[in-house]
Amino acid sequence: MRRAAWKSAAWTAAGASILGALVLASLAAPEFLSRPNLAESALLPFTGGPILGTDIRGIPITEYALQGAGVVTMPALVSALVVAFLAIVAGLARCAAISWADTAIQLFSELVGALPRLVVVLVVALAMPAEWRSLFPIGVTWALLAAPGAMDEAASTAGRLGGAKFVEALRAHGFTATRIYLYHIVWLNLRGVIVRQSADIMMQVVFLEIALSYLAESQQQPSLTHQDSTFSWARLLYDGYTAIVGGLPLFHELFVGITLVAATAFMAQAFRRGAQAR
Amino acid sequence: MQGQKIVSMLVDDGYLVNTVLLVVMAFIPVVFGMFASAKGWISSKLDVVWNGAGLTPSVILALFATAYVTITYGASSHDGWPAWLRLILGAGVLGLADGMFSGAVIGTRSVFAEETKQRYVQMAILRGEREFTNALPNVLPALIGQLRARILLMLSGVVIVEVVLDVVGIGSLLWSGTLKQDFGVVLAATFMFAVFSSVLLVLQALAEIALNIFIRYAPVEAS
Repeated sequence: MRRAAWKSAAWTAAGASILGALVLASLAAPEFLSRPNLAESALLPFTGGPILGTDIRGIPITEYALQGAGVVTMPALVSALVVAFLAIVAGLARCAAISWADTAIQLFSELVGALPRLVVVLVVALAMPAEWRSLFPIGVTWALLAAPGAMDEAASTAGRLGGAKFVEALRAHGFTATRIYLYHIVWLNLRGVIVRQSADIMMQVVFLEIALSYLAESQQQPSLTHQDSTFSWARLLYDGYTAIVGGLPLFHELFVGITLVAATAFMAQAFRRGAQAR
Repeated sequence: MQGQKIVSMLVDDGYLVNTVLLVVMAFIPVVFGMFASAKGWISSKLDVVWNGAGLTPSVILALFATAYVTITYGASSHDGWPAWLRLILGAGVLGLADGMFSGAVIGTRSVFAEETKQRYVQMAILRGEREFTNALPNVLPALIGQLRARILLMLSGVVIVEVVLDVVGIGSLLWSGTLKQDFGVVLAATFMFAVFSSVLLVLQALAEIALNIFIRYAPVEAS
């Protein structure tokens, strides 16, 4: 295997490991937090108590981390899949020489690209009934708003291959349509764009959730992305903020929160590096 | 905010001014980054640094910024210098976070790098002319488009920065309207964002028209 291929495989493996850990954490997330235990208030990590320590009420920080993973992982994955699907459609449309598809993509890009994404997301959140409160609709809206960029890039990559001429040439070699479109075009040539764009969207949806929950947390309001019984990673950051401002011994919460954010960013970067264009 | 006129909130209470100030101030490092990158003042070796900084979400940077203001001046410091400091730090957060600065630097460099491969630029260099002045008119439409996209991204970040840094603005108005399910307020705030977006589109179109006129009349025949 060439050195570049090894590097690419190592980056992809690193990204996949973090994603796997996120999925496992989301599956292991407790439905409700433990009861407060003031005897173990604000324990530091690795000091005999729960592994990541506890918050001011003595609740293990691990539970917040797991619940946070439960809030973001599936919606972020679904959003990434939405973008991947739309990018594949755009790439295939270019190769199949569907002329109106380019105009439609252009129109779609202009339309959804004209408004700030967060504004649209907030309007969607407002329109959602309180009992349906979840990150899914918000994440999917974000993915739809971000999709034109991915679609445009996938279409230009397919265009650089030669579009319909590329398909024609492969047909002349006797390949079936399924093999041409799914293997030669999507797997061999569009994979890099799709993985990179999807990883970016996944990261953005996680960050969006943290931001929205942090804003709600800072104003003591219910979050727009999850039910009141669940806590997101924003809780760790908010406790960290109160540690900085109020002098409470909760810096370890800030550290854990920032580590989780950094791990998410690293995951996206790892997928990005692993999927370098051929 | 029951019964309050939204127009008077936007205009008299400074919501509109604060948001515009935030965006304009955040615009400065972005434009500087684009210019410095185009002129080749920023080495590509630093891209790793910009990329790393750009990965930081705005909420994290805003958290540290608001902690600094709160510790130094108190949580209820909203007048005079602390108010300005909130705006300046907020603009800094908007200009740096979510890949704003890194995108400006790297995006501009890649556009220029593509253009300078063109034959006319190489001929201009042979004639002793500058690469930058020759390539600029032809890359400006792309750069203007990028800039509009960045400002729109900034307007998204405005909501987060205003709420976390406790700055009264259209973003914080939109957020409080959403939390309280106040459709009137959300409609007004969204309308303002739509106006911003439309103004940006018009400005982009005008800039491109001006550029096309310049390109049409710029070549001067040698006498």
